[in-house]
Amino acid sequence: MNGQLLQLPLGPKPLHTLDKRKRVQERTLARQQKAAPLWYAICLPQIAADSSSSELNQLGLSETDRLQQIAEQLTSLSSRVSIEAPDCLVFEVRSALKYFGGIEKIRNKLEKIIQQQLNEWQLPLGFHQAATPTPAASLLLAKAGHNLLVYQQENLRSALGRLSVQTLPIDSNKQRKQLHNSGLRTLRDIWRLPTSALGQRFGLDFIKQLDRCLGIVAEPRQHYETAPVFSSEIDFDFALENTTLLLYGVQELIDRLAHFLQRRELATRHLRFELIHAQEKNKVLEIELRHASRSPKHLLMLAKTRLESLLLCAPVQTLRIHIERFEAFVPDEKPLALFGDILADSTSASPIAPLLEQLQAKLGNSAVKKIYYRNEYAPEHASRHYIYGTKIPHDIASPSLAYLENNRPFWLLPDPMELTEQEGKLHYRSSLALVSGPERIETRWWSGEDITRDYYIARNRLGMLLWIYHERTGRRGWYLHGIFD
Amino acid sequence: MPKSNTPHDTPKALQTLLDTPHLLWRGKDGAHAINKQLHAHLPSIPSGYDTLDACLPWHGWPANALVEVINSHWGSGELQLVLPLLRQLSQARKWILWVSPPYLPYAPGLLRAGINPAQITVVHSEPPLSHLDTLWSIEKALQSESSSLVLAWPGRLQIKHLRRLQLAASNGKTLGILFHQRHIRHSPAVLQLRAKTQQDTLDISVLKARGCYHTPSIQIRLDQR
Repeated sequence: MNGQLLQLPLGPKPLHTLDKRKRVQERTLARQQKAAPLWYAICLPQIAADSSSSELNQLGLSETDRLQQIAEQLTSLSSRVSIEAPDCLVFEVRSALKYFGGIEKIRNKLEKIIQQQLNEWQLPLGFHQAATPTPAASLLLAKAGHNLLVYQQENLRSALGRLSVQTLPIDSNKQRKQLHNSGLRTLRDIWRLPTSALGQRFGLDFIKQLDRCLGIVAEPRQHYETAPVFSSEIDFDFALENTTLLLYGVQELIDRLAHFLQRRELATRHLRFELIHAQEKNKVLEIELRHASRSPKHLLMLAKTRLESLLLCAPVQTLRIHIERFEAFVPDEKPLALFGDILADSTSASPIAPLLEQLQAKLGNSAVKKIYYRNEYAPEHASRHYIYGTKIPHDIASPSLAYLENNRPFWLLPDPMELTEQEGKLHYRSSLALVSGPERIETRWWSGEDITRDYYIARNRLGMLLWIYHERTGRRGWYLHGIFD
Repeated sequence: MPKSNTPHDTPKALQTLLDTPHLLWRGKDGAHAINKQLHAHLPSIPSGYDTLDACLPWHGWPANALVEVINSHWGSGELQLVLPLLRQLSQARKWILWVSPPYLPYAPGLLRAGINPAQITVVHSEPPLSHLDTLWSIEKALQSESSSLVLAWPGRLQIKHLRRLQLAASNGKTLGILFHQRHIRHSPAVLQLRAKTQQDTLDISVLKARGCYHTPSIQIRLDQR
């Protein structure tokens, strides 16, 4: 183009002009820095000390409870928090350094959290802390009380060098003695020895421990997971005075819940609704299920039944659902027909469970009962009823059909009814005539409520067949105990 | 004129008409036999009493329907009527519900009659359920397809209640047996029986059986008592 020179604007030095070797070095360094985590360990010896002297521990919290409570709060600083019993916690902060703006900020936040918690438990303040690229090294330093911060992995050796060998988590006393006798006082002494000789003398586990501290071998850690909580609410534009409208809100909340449960493979057996009024006290509705469920249809049906029988004392401003207890979701599995008889158990989930839960939601749990036979001689103890869903004691006879020799009525009165005599004859609605008997029942002399009775079957003029007995001791009266059918 | 058109058609058409029982009503005598034929294919459960089966158009309890057992005195043997049914269903591991019985059933009595108490769930509370709650529970139990038999002691009933319960029973494919004291005319229930105890027999009179125009009476011996 006519000898004209095009001048390109010169920016910062392009990358490719840099020395290649230096470039590679820088890149690996950047990668290393990015990859290497930073584990922040804290050690709270006062927790373990307090729990061991149980008299001082007024709150009745064990050290694990306390560590979990702290871990719960530390989840605000890191997504990877891990508990090291009995008194330490370690959490990863490299990924959060930029977010919080440096290790100083994180330390300030941490100190605030711990101090607040210790104040609450009325424990002495103060704790040890250390941050290094490996959790094992951080814990070691924190436990030993060296408050150190090590960013780079290659600086770990010298940072750990000053530690006494006795701080290493070694179980056997023999090994401790062995270390001492070998003249190894600090970790620096160990670093000087060749690994093979160390392995021969102290075993592979010992080497592995050191390697974990230095980050040569990765250390898998179990992270603390917060318990799931589901809480959701709906604010109504105007206060609702009628349950039918409220039902739409319930439906929406249950849909949200079902979504939550499905994503996490969970199910629940406890629903808790809160109706929040403008002035009145909140009304709480709790629904219990026999089997954990996540089916929105089933949950909605139960909630609907429950709401129908509810009288609103004031208009509802807000509706809230809150669920804290969850169970792992187990899909309905039908047992193979081959094992049908063995697996068929009346306590397992049965097709009738939704109906019974619905009845319980409306009428109250105690209105739905199961009847069980008990192998007992005393008539009033031979039949037991349990509220559907409660645990059945072991001494209850299996549902196999037992053979009973003596005739027994279909209905037993909750308390025997004393019979009157009219014109020398026993009377219940009309005069009685004995049909069969006596059957003598004598039992429970050991319990202080002796039963010594003669049972008869009698018929009255209405055609009722009655089970009556004559008390043989005490008042010697006649009682009606059962009605045949 | 019509005779000249199709001289041989009339007897043939008549014969087809006679062969299809539901198109032609044949007065009092034929009705019973034909209705028996008509209802024979309807689902039913044997009652366990041959005499009772014989006089019901379904040869047993009508499945998926509402049955009323009327007895002026509660507890005088009317439960005998359903004992074979309870025995049969409970041993087949079917689910049975008792709604608002006068007392809680006594397990040894059930076992002695061959009934498995594990299959029975009782809806019963102290103090007794309100009348509306009882009716609601019966309806829900009948509507559920998982229950196969509902025995209920509902107290006073009105036609509208019976209509709803009959509908629930047929929708839920459940046999519902109601024990009560008062006879209601023109009841929508499929079967209405009156039970009366005489010493050791139970007199059963059929007050109404759907599709059956005569109302027989039979006696059942209560020898098991």
